[in-house]
Amino acid sequence: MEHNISAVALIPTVVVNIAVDTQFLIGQNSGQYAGAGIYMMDNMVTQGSSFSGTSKMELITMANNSAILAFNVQPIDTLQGLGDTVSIIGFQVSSTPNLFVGGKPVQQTSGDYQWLAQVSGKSGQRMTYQVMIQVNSGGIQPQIRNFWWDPFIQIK
Amino acid sequence: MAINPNTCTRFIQIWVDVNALSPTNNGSIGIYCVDNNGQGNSTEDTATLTTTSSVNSNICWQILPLDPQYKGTMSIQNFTSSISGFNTQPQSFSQDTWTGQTGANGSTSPYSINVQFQGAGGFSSWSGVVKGTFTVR
Repeated sequence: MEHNISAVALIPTVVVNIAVDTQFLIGQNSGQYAGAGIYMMDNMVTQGSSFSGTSKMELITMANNSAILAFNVQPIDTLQGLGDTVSIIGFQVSSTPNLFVGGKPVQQTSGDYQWLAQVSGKSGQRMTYQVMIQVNSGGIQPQIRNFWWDPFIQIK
Repeated sequence: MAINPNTCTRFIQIWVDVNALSPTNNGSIGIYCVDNNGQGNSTEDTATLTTTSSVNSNICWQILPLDPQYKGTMSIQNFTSSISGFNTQPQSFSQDTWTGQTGANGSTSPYSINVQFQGAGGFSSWSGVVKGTFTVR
């Protein structure tokens, strides 16, 4: 069965936000990332969302069964106008069970949310997923870097 | 006249989870401050950020809803700090954006930002304080 998620029809209750220090990351090598420059947060702290360990990239997002989740990313220096951009280029699920309905989040072409997903599972089930972002420096000779890491989603 | 954000080099974003705001927590949860200082430290992504910058740098603070479909308003009402850390005390550029300029090398300024959120239709409001520290190196 195929699942289509539309930004027009669905309003997410869970919003996962990623703030990115783009100028710093352009100076780094692409790869799996575990240090400074990428900061995750969500709107479910009152429902138990937390960080695993000290890394702000290992966010454990709590979501109710059947909840719609949104994923957004943006540069911290947006107002500077340098033209640097960041985008989510994909997701992978690296654990069982895969709680994403349909397997993965779906990229949106319009609206306030860049990617949307729905989760389904039993209370207490947790999955590790991988999010991949691409940083583009803009300017005369744009530089591109890719980074990925592995946060969590847990059914409340 | 406030400094234009497009001349700033240090940016501090204050992301707000309005679901977490209540009269009892006073912003202790649900507020996530991040900056572009490239260093990262344990205060990133918390309600009490410590930021460093160089002398005479233009600084920008911006408050944003974590959920972009939040229909209410968010504003920085006031900004207080010790005078030593800033050549130009932070001023309002717009409702959600304040800018200033750092002062002398070695100065450290704790600051407090009074913020206010007004729910859509005026049904609810919340006021609180976001505290941070700025060090000039």
